[in-house]
This record gives sequence, structure tokens and C-alpha cells, in this order.
Amino acid sequence: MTSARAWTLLLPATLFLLVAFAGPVVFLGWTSLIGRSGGLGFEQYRRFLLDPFYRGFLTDTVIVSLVTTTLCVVLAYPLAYQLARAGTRMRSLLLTLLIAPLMIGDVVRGYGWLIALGDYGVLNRLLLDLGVLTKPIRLIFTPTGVVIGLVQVLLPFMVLPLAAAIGAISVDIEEASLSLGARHGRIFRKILLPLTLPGLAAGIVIVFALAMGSFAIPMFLGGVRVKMVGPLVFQQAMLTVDWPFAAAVSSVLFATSLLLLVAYTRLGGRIGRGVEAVGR
Amino acid sequence: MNAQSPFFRAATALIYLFLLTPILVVAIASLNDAASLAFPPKRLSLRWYGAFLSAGEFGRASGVSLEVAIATAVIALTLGTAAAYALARASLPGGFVLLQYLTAPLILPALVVGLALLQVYSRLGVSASLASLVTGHVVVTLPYTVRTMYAAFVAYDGTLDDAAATLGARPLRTFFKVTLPLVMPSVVAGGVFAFAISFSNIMISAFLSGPSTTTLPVRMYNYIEFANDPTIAAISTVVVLATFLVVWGLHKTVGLGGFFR
Repeated sequence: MTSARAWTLLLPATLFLLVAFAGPVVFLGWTSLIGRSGGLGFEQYRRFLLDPFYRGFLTDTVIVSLVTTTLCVVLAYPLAYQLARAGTRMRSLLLTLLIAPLMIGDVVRGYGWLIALGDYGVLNRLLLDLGVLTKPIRLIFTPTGVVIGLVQVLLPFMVLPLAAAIGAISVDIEEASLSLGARHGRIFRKILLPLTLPGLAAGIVIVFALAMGSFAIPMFLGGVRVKMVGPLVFQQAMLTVDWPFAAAVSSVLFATSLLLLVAYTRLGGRIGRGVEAVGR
Repeated sequence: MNAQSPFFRAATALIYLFLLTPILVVAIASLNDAASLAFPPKRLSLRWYGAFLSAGEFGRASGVSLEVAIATAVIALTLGTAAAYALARASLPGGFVLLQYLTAPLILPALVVGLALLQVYSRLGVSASLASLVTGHVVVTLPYTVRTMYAAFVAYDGTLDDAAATLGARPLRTFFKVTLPLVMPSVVAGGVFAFAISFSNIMISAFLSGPSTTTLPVRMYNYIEFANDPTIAAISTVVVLATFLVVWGLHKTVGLGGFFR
């Protein structure tokens, strides 16, 4: 293909994102510089980052996202390993179970968790009936509830790149180590973990970034009690209608994700590894 | 890890149960006869499915969501396929950077995309319409179609195109008669993925839906805020069943399992 023709084919998508994504984000950055008196400056950023009330949103979001990412790593390894080493029929069942929840959307899942984790929800009923609890434990409108919801939503994003990485490691290597007397734990530490680091990095970056920018799950499961950046942006933009402040908060969110993205690209990562899963 | 050990199997089964919990809970709750969310249901009934079907607001919202999702899938697929073809088949300077640029909305917060577009629309005086909503949806689905099609074109055997060219086919004809039919499974998969992500999207729609373009997820969200009956559970179950059917069908026809390359 001549490069002139290639550029022609690239033009529509590139231009579209320029107009509908890059441009608006730059405009958002400009809006965030408008102070409450109308002058330009970093007043909104100072408000968000220095005011103790708002600073809580950033620290809580980072903590929730870190815990979510860690749990996803722990839970994803067994699933990824099983998926990568499964036979054809088992693999199709597991992939359906992983990919369908991904497509179902945050409203249905958030609502489901609300029923499952509510004060008199499924979990509490079960534990009360079994006599494990004498009074219901509070899960919704707590950071724990938000983490549970986020782990469920984001786990497939960790499993898919990890499974792709494990699938690329020959089974022979594992069998050789086994026959030489290595235990499973040691094989994991010495072979699987080092060889899956790129896949792991891909999963960590994407899960952390999506957790930081999450919105529907924290709205459902955190309410107003868990301070998360996503709901704050929505509330400031749509209810308080303080656009410059909402713009500043989302610019901080955007800058964080962009930094992660650049770091990740520098490490040689490609965004969305494993997303093509569905494609082939 | 030992995939054969009973402990390992039990652990993975538990994690899958956790993944499916909200979905199962919603399905069971939807069959509850009472208007409150008792669990497990004391009497079973399908009345909330009837409530869903007879409430015009949900029907209208479903219609809007379908229109938006179809338009989004078609546009994202067209833009994505053209770009992915160029990136995979021509070694352009800066091609890698462009690929990252086109897939960036996957990792950058969709919330920011929604708010940024809303502010631009308001500044330019663009009122909420299907077109303004679809624009936002295409931004967040384009990464999926680009990725899927890029993978397909990289794996594609280019000598087939050369053969067609040798036999006198022009590039456009070669693309539509040779290349496209051979990557059709990826086109279908990418399109379905874009459709599903758009259909269930709340982040973009929360900012860009107008009174006449309220999507199903936004309508559901608003309903949950003031009512607590199982209508939403019934709608959710319909969406869940449709999604599982589509994913399973996709797997049977074009395959989900080919990414362990």
C-alpha cells in the first residue's frame, strides 16, 4: 500500500478523535483555569488539591483503586492460568463467563450488588439465617462495598492479558520443571511470574486507570458516603453546575491516566492487549 | 499452579461464582411476586416482566439505546477498519504512536470524555440529539474496533491480496472481494462488541442524554433512585439473557478463543 493511500484511510478516525476527543479535552483543560471570580488561574486546582474536604476524594479514590487492583491481580492469576491451559470446550465456556459480564454494563451489575450486599440483602440474610451474624453488617455505602463491585467489574480486564501471556508460555517448560522436582509454588515464582510480567503490567495499568475513573459502581455502592472522584465530577457538573471545578477535577483524573499510559507505552506495552480476544 | 488439584478447581469455581453473583441475584429477584426486594422470593411471578413491557418509558428508552448502539457500531467499525487496515499493512513512520492514539480512549476515563463533549456542545449551542450522543459513544468504542481489526489484519496473509492484484483486481475490488470476506469474523465480533458496549454505556450517556434521547441504562438508573420494585430486575434479566446469547452465538460462529497466539 502506498503511504498516501494509508494516510487517506487513517484520516477519518484520526480527525474524528481530534474533533470529538482531543479537542474537547483541551477545551476542558482551559475551562478548569477559570476562577470563581472569572479570572484565569489555578484556583480550582488549589481548591481540589488543598482543601481538606476535597483532598479526601483523591486519597480515597487512590486507596480504593489500589486495593481493587491488588485483589484483581490475586484473583486473576488462577483464572488466567485455568483459561490458558483449558481444552477447547472448557475454554469457550470460561471465555463466555468472562466476556458476557463485561458487556452487561454497570447499571445492571451495580443494581445486582445492591441487592446482594444491602443491609437485608442476600449475603446478610444468609449469614443471619446461618447464625454467623446477629445483626446485619454494613457493606453498601462503604469503601468495602465499592471495592467488591469494582473487582467484579474489572477482573476480566486483568484476566485477559494475563491469559494471553500464560498461553504464550510452552507447557513443556512447566513439565520439565516438574520432572526436575520443582514444586508448583516454585514454578509460579521462577517461571510464570517473570514471563507474565508484561501481561501483568498491562492488566494493572488498565484496571487501576478504570478504577480511578469509575463512576456508576461508586454511585450505586458508595453513595455520598464514599468519596470517589467519578461521582464528584458528575455531581459538580450536573447538579451543582460548577463546570470549572468539575473540569479541574477531571483534568487531574485525566492527567493521572495519561501519565500511566505514557509510562506503560515506554515500557513497551500496547493498550488493550487481549481486547482483540473477542476478535479471533 | 496445578490446574488439576481439587483445591485449585474449587478456588476458580468460587471466583466465577463471585463474577456471576450480581447477575444471578438480579435474575432471581426479578421472579419475586412482592413489590419489595425480598430474597429469596416467597412467591414466584412474571408480573415484573409485564410491568417492563407495559411501561412505555422503558420501551422508548430501549428504542433509543438500540438506535444509538447500531449507529455507534456501524460508525466505529467503518472508521476502525479503515484505520486498522492502514496501520497493519503499511509501515508508516509514527504508526505505533497513532495506534496508541486511536486506542487511548480505552484507558483514559470515559467520564472525562462525557464532560468534555458536554462543555463543547454547550459552548457551541449544540442541543442533545441522537447524533451528539452517538459521537460520544463512538469515541469510547473505537478502541475496541481498531484493536480487533488491527489484530485481524496483522494475522492476514497479504500474499492473497498480491495474487488478486496480479490477476488484475484493483485495490478497492481486492479489499471488498478478497480481504474483507476473509476477516469477516473479526468484523462481526468487533461490531457486536461495540454494539454491546454502547448499549450498556452509562458514563457517556449520563452526560449527553437529553429528554428525548434518554437511553435504557440512564432510564434504569433514574428509576432505581426513587423506586425499589423488581421492574429493573426484570429488565436487567432480559439484557443479561440477550447478552449471554449473543456472546455464546459469537463464540459458536466466529470464535472467542483465538487470542493465545
